[in-house]
Amino acid sequence: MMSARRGLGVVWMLALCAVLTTTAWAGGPRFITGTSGYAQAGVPMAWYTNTPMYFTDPGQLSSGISHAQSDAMVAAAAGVWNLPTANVTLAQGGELAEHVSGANAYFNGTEVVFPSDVEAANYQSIQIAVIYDTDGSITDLLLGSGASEPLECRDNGVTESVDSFGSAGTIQHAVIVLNGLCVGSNAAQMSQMQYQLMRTFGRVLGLAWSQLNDNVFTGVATVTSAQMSVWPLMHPIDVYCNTYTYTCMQNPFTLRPDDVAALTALYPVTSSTSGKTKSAANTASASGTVQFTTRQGMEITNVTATRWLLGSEPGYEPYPVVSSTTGASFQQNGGNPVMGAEPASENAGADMAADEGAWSMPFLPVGTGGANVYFGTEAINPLYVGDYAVGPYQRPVVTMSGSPNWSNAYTLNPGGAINFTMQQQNAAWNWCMYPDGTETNPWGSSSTGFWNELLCAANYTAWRTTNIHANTSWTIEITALNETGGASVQKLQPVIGVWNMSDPAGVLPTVASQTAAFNSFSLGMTQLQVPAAASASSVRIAIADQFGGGRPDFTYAARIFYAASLAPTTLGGNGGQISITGTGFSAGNEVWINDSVQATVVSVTPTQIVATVPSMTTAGAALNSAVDVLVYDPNTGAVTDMSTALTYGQQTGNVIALVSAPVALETGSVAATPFAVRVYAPDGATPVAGTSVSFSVTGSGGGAAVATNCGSGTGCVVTTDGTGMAQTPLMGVAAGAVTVTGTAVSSGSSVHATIADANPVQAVTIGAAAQYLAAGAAGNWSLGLTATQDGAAAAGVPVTWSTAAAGFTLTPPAGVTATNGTEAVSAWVGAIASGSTNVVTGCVWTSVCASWTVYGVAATQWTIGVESGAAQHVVLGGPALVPVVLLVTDGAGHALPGATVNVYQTAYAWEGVCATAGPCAAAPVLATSQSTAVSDGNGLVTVQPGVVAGVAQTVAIAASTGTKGFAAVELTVAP
Amino acid sequence: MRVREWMCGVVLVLAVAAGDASGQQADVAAPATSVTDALRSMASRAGVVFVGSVTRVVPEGGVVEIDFKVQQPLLGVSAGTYVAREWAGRWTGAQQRYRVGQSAMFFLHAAGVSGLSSTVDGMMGVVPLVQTGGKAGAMVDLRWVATRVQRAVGAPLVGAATGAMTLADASRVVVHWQVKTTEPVMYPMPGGAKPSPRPVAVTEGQGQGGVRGGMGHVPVEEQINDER
Repeated sequence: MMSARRGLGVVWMLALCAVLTTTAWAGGPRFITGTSGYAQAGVPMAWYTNTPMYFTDPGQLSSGISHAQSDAMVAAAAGVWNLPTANVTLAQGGELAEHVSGANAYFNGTEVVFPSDVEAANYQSIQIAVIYDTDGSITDLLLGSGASEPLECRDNGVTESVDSFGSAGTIQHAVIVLNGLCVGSNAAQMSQMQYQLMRTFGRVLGLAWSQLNDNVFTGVATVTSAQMSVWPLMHPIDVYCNTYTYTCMQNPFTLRPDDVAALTALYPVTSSTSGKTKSAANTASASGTVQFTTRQGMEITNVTATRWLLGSEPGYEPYPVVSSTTGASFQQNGGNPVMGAEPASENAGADMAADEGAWSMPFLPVGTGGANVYFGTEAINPLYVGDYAVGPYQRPVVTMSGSPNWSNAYTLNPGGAINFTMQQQNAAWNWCMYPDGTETNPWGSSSTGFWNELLCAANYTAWRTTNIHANTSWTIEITALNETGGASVQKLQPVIGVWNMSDPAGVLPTVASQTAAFNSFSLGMTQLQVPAAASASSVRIAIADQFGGGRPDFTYAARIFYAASLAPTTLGGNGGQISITGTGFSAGNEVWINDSVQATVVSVTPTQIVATVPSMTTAGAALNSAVDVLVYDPNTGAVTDMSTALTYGQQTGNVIALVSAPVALETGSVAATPFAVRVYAPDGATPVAGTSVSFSVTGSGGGAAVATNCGSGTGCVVTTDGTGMAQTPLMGVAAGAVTVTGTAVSSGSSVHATIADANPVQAVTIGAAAQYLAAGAAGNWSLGLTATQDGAAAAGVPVTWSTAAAGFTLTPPAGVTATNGTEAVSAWVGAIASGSTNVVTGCVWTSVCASWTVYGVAATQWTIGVESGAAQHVVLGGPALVPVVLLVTDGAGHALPGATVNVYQTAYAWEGVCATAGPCAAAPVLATSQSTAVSDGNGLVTVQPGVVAGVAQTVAIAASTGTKGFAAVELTVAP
Repeated sequence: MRVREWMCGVVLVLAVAAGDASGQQADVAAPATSVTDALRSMASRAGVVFVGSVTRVVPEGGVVEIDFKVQQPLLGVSAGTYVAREWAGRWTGAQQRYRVGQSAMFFLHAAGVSGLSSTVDGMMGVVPLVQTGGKAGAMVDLRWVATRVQRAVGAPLVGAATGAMTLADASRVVVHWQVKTTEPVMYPMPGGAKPSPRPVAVTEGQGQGGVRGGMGHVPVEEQINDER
C-alpha cells in the first residue's frame, strides 16, 4: 500500500498560486451575473445581506393546523440552512402586514400585483415573503387553473420566485407561496411541505441542484446506505417511493456535506466573529479545470471528490461527498449571427475561455487530520435540464466527451488548497482549424453537397457560400454528431442562416433562417428549406450553435440538397429519361414531375440523378408548357424544386438516355460499371441499332479519366448494338471530377454523368518493432512488409528494399508481393556501429514506403539488472539454488542483445547473524570464479550460482557490462 | 374542469390506495404505478394538451409569453398557434423554462382568471419529442415522466431501459385518459438521444485500504501542505 503522505513537493506550490485566483463556488450556483447590468460577469449570486429575514403570512395556512404550527414548520425548514460555518442566517423577521389571498393579490393585465409589503420594491424591509395560500387561490393565480389541486402538491405545494437582483450581483428579494390545500391534520403532509420548503429555501439562497451519487436517483447501480447518507438534499429530482417523498431519504431534514459545501461557497465565513466559525476550518480548497486534449475547457461536466479522512478512516470512503460542475460561470448563451445577440433575459455568465471548464470546491471537508482526496469526472444526467439544472445552464445537457476520469490523489490538510487540470481521456480531440472562412469571405461548399465539419470554439460560426440558379428552391441540413459519428441531440444545437453574398455583414439573415435546432424529423438534424429566388444568386450560409457554443465534440454533417440543372429539358410526349445534376443526392431520393407524378429513379450519385419520366398525359402536363421537376428525400424531408424546368414537346430526332455510370472512379483502375447509353427513336421508346454515339470525357478540379473503348483517349464514336445501347468502360487517371458525355450523333441529344475520381488508398506496413543491439555485435533479422490497396492485400506489386546503414546487407534487395500482399527480406550486419541508427526501407509502388530501425547502442548506455533469482535463501540439504537471470537493457527499458557481460562470483563460508554490538566477523572465502557471457536475443544472461558443495555459505554474484552497467545479488545456503 | 370529473374515478382509487388519513383538505395522491398512468394523470389535470413546438418566448412585464405551433391538438386546443402566458416570477435570473424550437407534447394548466398558466407537474408536463427520421414517426421521451412512477428506494427508474413510446400511442393514451386500456409498448430511446453512460459506481467496502477495487485506477498520492 502506498504511503498516505508521500510528498511530491512541487505540486502544492503551483496549486497555491492557482487557487488564489479561482472564483469560488461548489455544487453549482443557481444564478450568475451576466455581461449587462452587472459590474462583473460570471459571479455567483448570493444575498445582499447575511441576514435575509423571512416574514410569514398572518393568515391560516390551513384550517387543519394552527398558525403557530405553520410558523414552526417554516422556521424548521429555514433553520436547516443556518450553519456556524456559513455567513448567512435565515430567521423570521415578523409577519406580513396582511393575509395574502385572492382578495388582495391579482393580475392587472400586465403583472401579478401583491400587497405592497410583499412586492420586491420593499426588499430592504422584507427580504423573503412567505405567503400562506389558504385556499390555493394564489397558486392558481400564478400557475393556472387547477395548479393548487392536491394532486399537484409535490410540484406546487411550495412555489417560489427570486424576483429581485441588485446590480452588484446580489439576491434582494424572494416570494414563497405555500399551498394550503396540500396540508391538513395529517402530520406527514406537514413534513412533506417542510421538506419541500427546506429545498426551496436552498434555492432561494442561490443554490443550484446538485448531482452526487446519482445512482441513488437512477437506481442504475446498487444503492448503498452510505450513499444515501450523503445524497444531497439539493438533488434535482426526488425518488418517488411513497406518497411523501421525504420518506424516501435518510434523515431528510439534515444537510449533507455537499449541501454544506455549496452553502459555505456562497456565504463563506472569513473570520471567527459573531459566533461563526471560519469556513476554512477543517476544510480545504480544491479547484481546477476539466479539459479536452486540445486544452479547451469542457463545460457541463460533473466533478466529484472522494475522501480518505486520515486518522479516522482505514481507506477511501466508497462514495464521493462533494460535487461541482464545470462552466457555471461561463456564458450560458453567447448568441449567434443567425439569431442575433442573446436576449437580455438570457444574459448570464462571462465570455471567458478560462471559465469554460472551471470547477471549484472552496470548502471541501477534510476533517481535523486532513484527507487524501481524488477527484472524478462524470456526465451530468440529461434529465437535469431546465428547472432541474445543476447550475445556471440554459442549454440542454451536453453529453460529456470521453470516459469518466480520475485525478491523482492529493493529501489535503485543513486550510490547504489544490488547483489542477484534468484532461478527459478519450475525449474528442478535434483541433480548431478554422476551415470555414469568414462572414465576408466564406469558403465554398463541397462539390458533392456533403461535408463534415466542426464548430470548434465558443462563438464560432461556420461560413460557407454556394451558387443557386433562379427559380430553384433548395434545402440545407445540419446533423449534429457525437464522437462515434452518430446523430445526437445532446451535443451541438445547430441553427442555420442564409444571406445573399451582396448583403452587408452583421445583419440577421435576409434570405432564410432556421433558429430552432432539430426542427426536422430526423434525429439530430436541423433543416432549412430555402425558397426559390427570381434570379440566380450567390448566397452566404452560416452554421452556428443555438447558444453560441463550440467545442471539439461539436461536429456535424452538412448537406446542401440542390437540383441545379436538367438534361434534356425537353422530352417527347411519351416521356423519357432525364439527368438531374446537383448536390446532396442520396439513395432513396424521389423525383416528382409537375408536383404530382413520381418518376422512376434509375441511378443516384451525390451529384446526379437519372430518372425515367412518365408521359405527358400521366404527368398531367400540356404540350410545350413547362412543368416543375422536384427532388425529395423521404428520409429527411429535404426538397429541391426546379420550377418550370421540363417541357413536353415535339421530338424530331433520336433521343439518348443514360443506362449506367460508375458511382465513383479510382485512379489506375477500370470501373466495374461501364458508362452506357441507349438511343431511342423520336417516340422515346423504340431502340435504334447501328447508330453512332459520341463519347467524350472531360475533367475538372484536376480530375481525368479515359474511356477505354476509345483506346487511351478521352473521346471516340461507338455504334449502338441491337438493343440501341453503346457503352465504354472508364478508367480513372487523376483525382478530381470527371464528366462523361454520350451524344447521339444523328440528333445531338446527349446525356452526361459527373463522377468523382479518387486516388487508391495504398499502404505499406512493416510489422517488426524497432530493435536494439549492443555496439559491435552482429545481427541478422528477417523483415516482412505487407502492402494493401483500398484495404485489400496488394499482390504482384514490385518491392524495393534499401538502406544507407553502414555494414548492412539486404537479401534479396528487391522482390514482388505474394498473393497475401507480403514480401520479405533478410537484413544482416557484422558489427553494428556504436550509437548508430540504422534504417531499412521497403517501398511498393515506388513511393509508398515503410521503414524499420535497429539502433546500435553504445557501451556507455548498457545497464544490467536481475530479472529473476535474486534474494534466494535455501537450506543446506534442501532444494538447490536456481540460476540467476540477468537482463541487459539500453537504459530506456529496451532489451539489449549482443552485450558482453562479466560475471564474478565469490562463495563465503556461512557466518550466521552478526553480533548486536561490534563489527561482523569476516567470512572465509570458499571459492571465486570469473566468466564472460553475451546477452541473448532477449537481452538475457543466465548465471549458475557457484556453490561449493556440502557447506553452508553465501554466494555473492556481481555482473558488469559496458562502461557502467553493474548488478549484484547475494544468495544464501543456510545450515 | 377535467380533474373534478376524474376525482370520481381514478383519483379516488389512488387516494384510497395511499391509505393516508386526510385532514380537511383532499389527500395527496400516491404516485402513479406506471408511466402510462402518469400520462393519464397529467392529461386529467391539464386544460390543454397538444403536440407542437415553441416558436417564440417573449418576456412582457410580469409575464412571459410563449408562442406554440400546435401540430397535433389533443385536448382543449385546436391546430394553429397557441399562446401561453406564464408568471415571470419563474423566469427570473436568466432561468429558461422553454427554448425556441423545443418540440414536445405539452400538458398545460388551463389559464386561470389571471390568464396565466403553467405546465402540469412542473416541467414533467413537457414531454420531449424524439425524431426517428423518415417515415418511422416520432416518439415521446417519457424518462422525465417515469421519475414520477412509484418505486422502491434504490430501484431503477421505471422504464430506464426503454423510456420511449410512439407518439401515436402516447396521443391515444392522452386523448382517452379516462379509459385504461392495454399498456402501449415502450421502446428504447434512439441512440443519439439516450442518456449518457453512467459512471461505474463504487460499492460499499471497496474503499478499504486506499485502493478502489474494480475501477482500474489507483490514486497517486501527493502532499498538499500549504495554507490559504
